[in-house]
Amino acid sequence: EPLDKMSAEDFSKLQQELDSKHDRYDKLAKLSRECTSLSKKAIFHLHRTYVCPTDGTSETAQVLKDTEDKFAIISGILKEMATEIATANEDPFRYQTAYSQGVQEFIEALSYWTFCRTGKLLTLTLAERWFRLDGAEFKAIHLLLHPTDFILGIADLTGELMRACTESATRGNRFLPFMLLPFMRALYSEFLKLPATVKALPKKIEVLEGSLLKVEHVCYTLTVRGSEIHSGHLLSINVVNEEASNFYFKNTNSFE
Amino acid sequence: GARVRGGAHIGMETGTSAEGGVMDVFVTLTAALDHERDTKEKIRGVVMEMEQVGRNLLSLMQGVHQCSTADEGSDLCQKADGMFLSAREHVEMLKRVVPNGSYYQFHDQWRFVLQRLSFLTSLLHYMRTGQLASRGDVAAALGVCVSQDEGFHLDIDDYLMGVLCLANELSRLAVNSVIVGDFQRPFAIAELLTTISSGFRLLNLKNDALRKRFDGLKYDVSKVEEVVYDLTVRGLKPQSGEKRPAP
Repeated sequence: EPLDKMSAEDFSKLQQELDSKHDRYDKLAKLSRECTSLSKKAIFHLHRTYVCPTDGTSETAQVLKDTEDKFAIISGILKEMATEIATANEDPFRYQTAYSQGVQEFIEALSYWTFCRTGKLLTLTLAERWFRLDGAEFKAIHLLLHPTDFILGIADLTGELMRACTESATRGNRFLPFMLLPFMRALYSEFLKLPATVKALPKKIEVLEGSLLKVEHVCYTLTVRGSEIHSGHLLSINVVNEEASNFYFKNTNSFE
Repeated sequence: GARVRGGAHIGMETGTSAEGGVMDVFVTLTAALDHERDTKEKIRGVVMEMEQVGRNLLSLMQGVHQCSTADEGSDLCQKADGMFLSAREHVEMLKRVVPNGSYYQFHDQWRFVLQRLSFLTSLLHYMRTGQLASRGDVAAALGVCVSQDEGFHLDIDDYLMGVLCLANELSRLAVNSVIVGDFQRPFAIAELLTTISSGFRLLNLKNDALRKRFDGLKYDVSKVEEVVYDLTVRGLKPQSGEKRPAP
């Protein structure tokens, strides 16, 4: 059996392989940062206009459309990332730490937009459409979206919802907080049930609870101080609830 | 006051419509997480057994520091072969519980044990040939592939870590060779460590675990250089083939 000596040439091949891995990682990390940046901008755009799902105004429709256009750009970047991995015939999980952050931020933005449009939670199926790589040459379609990143992105969404709640209340929007409350509660109770496999989860749940408490406090304040708005008349909480609940019944049909 | 529709007191209770489809989404997510957890548990079971084989092998291979004759050496290699057979069987089991195309999703679970087995393979290869085992040699010995295209493979970082562990072990062996009266071996080890050292200098490493480990290589090299110096300066360097110089 011939004994091959490890030579400088062998180490040279190892160098090339390592370089190729590192270069790919750096490229993906850079694209991921672009995703993060654009996603944050989309979120701020939605915040600035304090989109309220009930209003049905053309302004709201325009903001939602603008945000959708931003998402199309992000989707392009995600496809570039997936292509980079797929053409190298690599396992996407090898680079997960490179692109995870960008994916989470995008899910956060996408789910916020989905709530503004529909009052519902983004589904995995809807999310996957933005990650979809077309073409028969790719063996896997959704290379980048893992349940863990989806969950962490939704956890971060609750922070933005809390901000929307407090900001809109200070601007006199009495409906959005009461619309957010059951949604936040449902999310919180589902998060509590998740298995302990995701390491970052306990801290995120702690933060989620803090956000929920703030939303509850806003609703409490609006309930209690509502009586101060019309002298001598209690603000009928039922009026507020009816308008908010009208939104839900009107939009029960899926927006898919 | 105004009438409230149905039973949906928004903000008072959560009815299913107010939950905005949250529960359905989480049913899917939970199923995916549970599936991942089940796979991890299966893998953990196999890896734990592999780790014990690794520990037993490591313990056995410590005997290398006391081998003074060629017979003792080949005896040790034979015993090690037996244990490597078991290691290979466990690798086969591991391959069966890792889903296709999910190598890196669970890689952290077997990273350590595979690095150790890679090191021990190289050590055994050194015992037999005096050479540094290539990635292909190690992969073949363990029954895995070299590249991820081919299947369950030996990750490049894990192979390189094994090589650095070998360098460390051999620096200790240089010292112990002198104790058992083999004055030739430290010189051979010095040459091998030079090969490893110059090979590693070709690599562009990031500030990761491999880099940190590589930073320790220079201490292994200088330890062996000291042994070589001690022997040389006392005229103890053996001529061709001999373990000790002629008196």
